Amino acid sequence: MTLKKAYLLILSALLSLQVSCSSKAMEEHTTEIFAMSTIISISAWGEDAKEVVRRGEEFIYSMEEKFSTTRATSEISLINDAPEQWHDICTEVEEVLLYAQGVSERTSGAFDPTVYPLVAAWGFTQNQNRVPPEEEIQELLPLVNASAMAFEEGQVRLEEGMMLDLGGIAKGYITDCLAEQFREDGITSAMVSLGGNVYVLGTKTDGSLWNIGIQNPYGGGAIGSLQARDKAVITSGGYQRYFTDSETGETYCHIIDPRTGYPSDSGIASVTVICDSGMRGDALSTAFFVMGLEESIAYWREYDNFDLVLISSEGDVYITPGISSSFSLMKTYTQGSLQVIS
Amino acid sequence: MSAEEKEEKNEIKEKKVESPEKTSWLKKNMLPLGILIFIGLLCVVGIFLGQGEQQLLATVTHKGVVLLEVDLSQVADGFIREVGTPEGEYNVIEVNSGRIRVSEATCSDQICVLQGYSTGDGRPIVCLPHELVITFEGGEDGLDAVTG
Repeated sequence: MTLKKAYLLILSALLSLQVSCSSKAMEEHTTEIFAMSTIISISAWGEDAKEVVRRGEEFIYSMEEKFSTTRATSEISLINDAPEQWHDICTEVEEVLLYAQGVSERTSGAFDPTVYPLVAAWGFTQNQNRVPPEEEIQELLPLVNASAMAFEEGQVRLEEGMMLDLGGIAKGYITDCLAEQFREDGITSAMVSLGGNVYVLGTKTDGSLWNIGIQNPYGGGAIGSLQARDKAVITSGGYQRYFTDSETGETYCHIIDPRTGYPSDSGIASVTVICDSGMRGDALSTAFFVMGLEESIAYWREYDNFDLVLISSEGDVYITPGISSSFSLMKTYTQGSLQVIS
Repeated sequence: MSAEEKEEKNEIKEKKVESPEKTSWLKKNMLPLGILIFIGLLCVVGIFLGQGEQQLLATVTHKGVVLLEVDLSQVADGFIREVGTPEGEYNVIEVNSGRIRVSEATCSDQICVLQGYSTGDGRPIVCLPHELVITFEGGEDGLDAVTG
């Protein structure tokens, strides 16, 4: 080995050391807050990450002021108080409402932002669960109709008795806004989780893909994991919030089928949507949970620009071909088999 | 001395000079070689440290204050910790070897209790009404986040 070669070797070794040190020295900031009726965690790496995350927190609180159904002064609460009147709405609420109306149409009502009267009737809004009588459900069903939302410039109007609940879409929208804001602020690596609605920006600081677990709906840890970058990974399932009727012993989950008025019983334990937009993933995961396996797969075949992990009530796991190489089942998951949808 | 003998002597001289050159090469390259060996050793130490015993750290936070940090992999005898407020609201946290749960709570939705035991390879355990969170670090799954 010549002296020159030896020095070149050292130089390259030192350079790689410097790269690894500089990535470690890159500012990292993580925060956890309670907002939007859930726990939110934000982690970001990049220059000025602390300030960027702080602005992200502020943005979340400002969105909570607009989207909350429990805050009396939020835009959504004001609409719900007098739905038959025209209400001024900010661009964010308008954007979400218009998108929600579109998803409702495309999913034939499986997702509906006006399902709130039924959710309340089943007691999920006040944590006082009950099984409403059939007559009550039939009376409330006509109030669930996203197509009845009327828009004029910066204004919205519903019909008498209708009420909004954007819980199945607003978190995804906020995730998208945060990701966009982070990119503009020069953040190259970030992970946001709004109550399990995950968005990963870029790769990890070492260049590797994010490893996102999918919760086992039957308890315990994750059923499997997915490697991803620049994706929203959003799951809907009935296993988090449910109640058992003491008289019949029947269990009811918190996701109401807007078409029937009853808690969803579609044969799906959980649905995970993997796509570019958090808002889309949020709304579609709720819709697919209601639609069931076959209808969801038919929707995927029609659009084919997102990926899915569907877990049936029997425990079988169905994934789309787009993630067949990036998704793997945990060895500990024995409830069912893995099948790639064709 | 003949011309042939002179040439032979010169060759011997040249051969004798080679040996000091080799020594000086080693001397000259001592520093870079030393650095290379040092870097190699650092890598080996790093690998060994990385292969240390797998921890599973559970952190219980209540209203932003860390109340308990426990390595679940080191828990031999289980124990119970109650987290309460002056208003009489509480969560009972049960810690066992390799797993943790909220076994009882006065919260309105009971989601934290329904979640059952966690072995640290899934979502954090969260009681929203009481702002209680149990998060995990370590474990063997290497997950960055869990959706669900």
